[in-house]
Amino acid sequence: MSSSIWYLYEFVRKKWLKRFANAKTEKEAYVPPERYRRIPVSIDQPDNCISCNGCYQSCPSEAIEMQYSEEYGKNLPVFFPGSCIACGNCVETCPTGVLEQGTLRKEAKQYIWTVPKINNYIIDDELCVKCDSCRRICPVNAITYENNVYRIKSNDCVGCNRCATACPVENAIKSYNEYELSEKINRAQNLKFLKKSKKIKYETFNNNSNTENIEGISNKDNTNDDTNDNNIKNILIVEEYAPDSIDEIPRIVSSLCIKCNNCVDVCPGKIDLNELNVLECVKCGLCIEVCPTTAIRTGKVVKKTLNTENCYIINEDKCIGCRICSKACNVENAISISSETNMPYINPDYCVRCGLCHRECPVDAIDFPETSESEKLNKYRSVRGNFQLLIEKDLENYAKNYVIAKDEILEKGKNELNL
Amino acid sequence: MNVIPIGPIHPILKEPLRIKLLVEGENVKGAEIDMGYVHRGIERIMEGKSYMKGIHLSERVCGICSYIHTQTFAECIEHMCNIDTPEKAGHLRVITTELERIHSHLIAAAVYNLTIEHETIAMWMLNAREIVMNLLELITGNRVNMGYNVVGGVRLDLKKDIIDQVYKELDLFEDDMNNIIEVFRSGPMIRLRSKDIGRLGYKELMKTRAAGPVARASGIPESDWRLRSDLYGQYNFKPCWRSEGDNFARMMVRHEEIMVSIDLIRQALDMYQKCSGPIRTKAIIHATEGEYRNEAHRGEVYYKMAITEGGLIKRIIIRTPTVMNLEAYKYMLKTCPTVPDAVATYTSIDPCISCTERTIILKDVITGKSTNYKDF
Repeated sequence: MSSSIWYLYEFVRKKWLKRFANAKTEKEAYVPPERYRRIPVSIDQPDNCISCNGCYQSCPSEAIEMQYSEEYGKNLPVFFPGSCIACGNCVETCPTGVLEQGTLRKEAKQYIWTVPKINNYIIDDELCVKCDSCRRICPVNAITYENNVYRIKSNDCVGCNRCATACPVENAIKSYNEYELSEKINRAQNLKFLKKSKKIKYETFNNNSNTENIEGISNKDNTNDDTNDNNIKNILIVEEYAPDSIDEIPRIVSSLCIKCNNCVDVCPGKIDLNELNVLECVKCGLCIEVCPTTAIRTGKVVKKTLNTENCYIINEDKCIGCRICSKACNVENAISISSETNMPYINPDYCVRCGLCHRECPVDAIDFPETSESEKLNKYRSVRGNFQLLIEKDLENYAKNYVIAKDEILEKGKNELNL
Repeated sequence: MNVIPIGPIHPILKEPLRIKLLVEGENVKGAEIDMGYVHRGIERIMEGKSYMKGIHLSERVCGICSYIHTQTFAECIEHMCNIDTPEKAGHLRVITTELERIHSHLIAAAVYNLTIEHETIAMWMLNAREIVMNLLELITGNRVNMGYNVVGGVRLDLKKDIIDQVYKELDLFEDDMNNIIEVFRSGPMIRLRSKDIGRLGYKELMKTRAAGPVARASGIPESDWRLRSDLYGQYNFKPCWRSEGDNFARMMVRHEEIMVSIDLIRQALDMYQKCSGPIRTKAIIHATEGEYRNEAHRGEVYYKMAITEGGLIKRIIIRTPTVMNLEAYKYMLKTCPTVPDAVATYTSIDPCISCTERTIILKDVITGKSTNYKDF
């Protein structure tokens, strides 16, 4: 009873009533610190976005999708707050700096950042025509040109695909994405397991060592065999490891190799990845199957153009015959010199439409009409040139024969006159 | 012989796992442990991804010791490709790791105290942990999965006001912890429930290769990988250890490590203020293979990976300490008189199940031989 009176007394005190009326949480309890990376990421100035897909590709949890925005007329990233893990990869990747999360962009602007991406791009030296198209279009200056070789710096590339679309040659800039690479690694590991479990070795394919084992005979009595090597018993050649599936020993292209060791894993012979040489080969063709970048290959590569509708043509009224275009061109047989007019002409079958000659021409004499026109001129010039060559050859032959005949006649005359 | 099933979902378990206790009346005779409820195949997902995505995946291996996984991942790649991290980054990594060690140990201690029915201490511990979590949020910007490490350094630098606040809060936290540890050490009921329960002797420990606080409580101070680390060589650091090997010793080792961690954070902050320069270096990745070990909060965490040119992960293998510590559990059960003691012993090793479930052993069907990663 007394306690309830005390409570009543307590509740009507002015101090208690004041505190009761103004009760609220302390501010530190609900205000996050300055650095707190709030979900989702905010876009500051969408006008500056270049739609490079860098944020979308750098996201480890696939929380970003590129969607077309009617208001700005371009693709803009859309963030899904349910998937975002507040890692800040997209903020640091963004080349234009339009994304912000907490104070991450402000504080981490000066630091070095390596860009993670889904699609990795790599330049094939055997197909590259050194036309400079990719380097000029790259928005982040990730492509370098040194010692007559183009390279993509994998640390800076954001994977926007612009270089691959600008490149005139088919497959000269190869892209391999993480899903493909994952599949290839899985395939390589399965083949490796097969190789190890069946004990497939290079010697088993050699016709010199154990001829019975090559025929794929399993469960054979090896009691009579005097083989020192126990590994080469009960060999069962599985259908994946069929020798002589390809025609020649494959070669490794140094500019494409990312040294993932997939080929070494599946190869029953020997591949040296430091020297990029195939040392022992049974021509089973499995290394070509598991290579993610097609760095290991057979046969000759053909520089195929992507644009067959148009082709460059040399306007012979403007051309001054300086031949800068033919020196600049890096494709064999694409520009030849006509012997009749001493002017270059372009062969549309070999030309890759890279536009290097068009840019280099000092008098702007190279146009870009439809292919048929260029083909006509090329046929005309090559036929005329061949005809001219034929006449020249014939004249040479006549002249030679005439000189020889003249000498013979002189000798005959001398012999007859007994001089 | 009766069987008491505990799990997969049970109030005492932080993560799903099934323990079948074999009992005679109240006496525990043995146990069977079933796992596989939270296997997510993280190593398989990582294959083919860029390493800056893999580091965020490795953080999701475990919910409590997330930061040490990223640090080991980053240090593994730095070790493989000979990347020299700046001094500042090393100190910042130590500060964050030790803060996380404190919070992990506090959760372990709180859960243990719940299982021995001492909820008061458990609540005190979780309350004290909140200070540490706020500090982590202040430094990194996130509470649990921080995303603070990058290969070649760390994401953000400290500022003057953050340093002052860390010093201030650490003083408060230390006073708090001293009180709580004193209550735990001198509490008669805790002594009854923890002393001589779940003993793990030296010989039994060597059979199981247990690691971390479990090993240090059984008299192996050299099991601490921080002694072999380059980062911790510049600090004045001694591992804590006891020789009894019972539940009480395991918990006390954790409490002492909390105090050592506070000391380490202070040392790292002092040394951090003396050095200058950047916090990241350029990471140039070559195609190599390598491995690295670190002292996580439960023991040795081991990363081995193969990486391609340009930093794409080819293969990765992660081994976490709970694999060995759970093996030691069956030896501890011999000195557990009752079922609640068996449960308390299980929590005293601080198991982390989602860390553990990643092992694959290939068995040849014909010969019956099992093969591990090294043969492939």
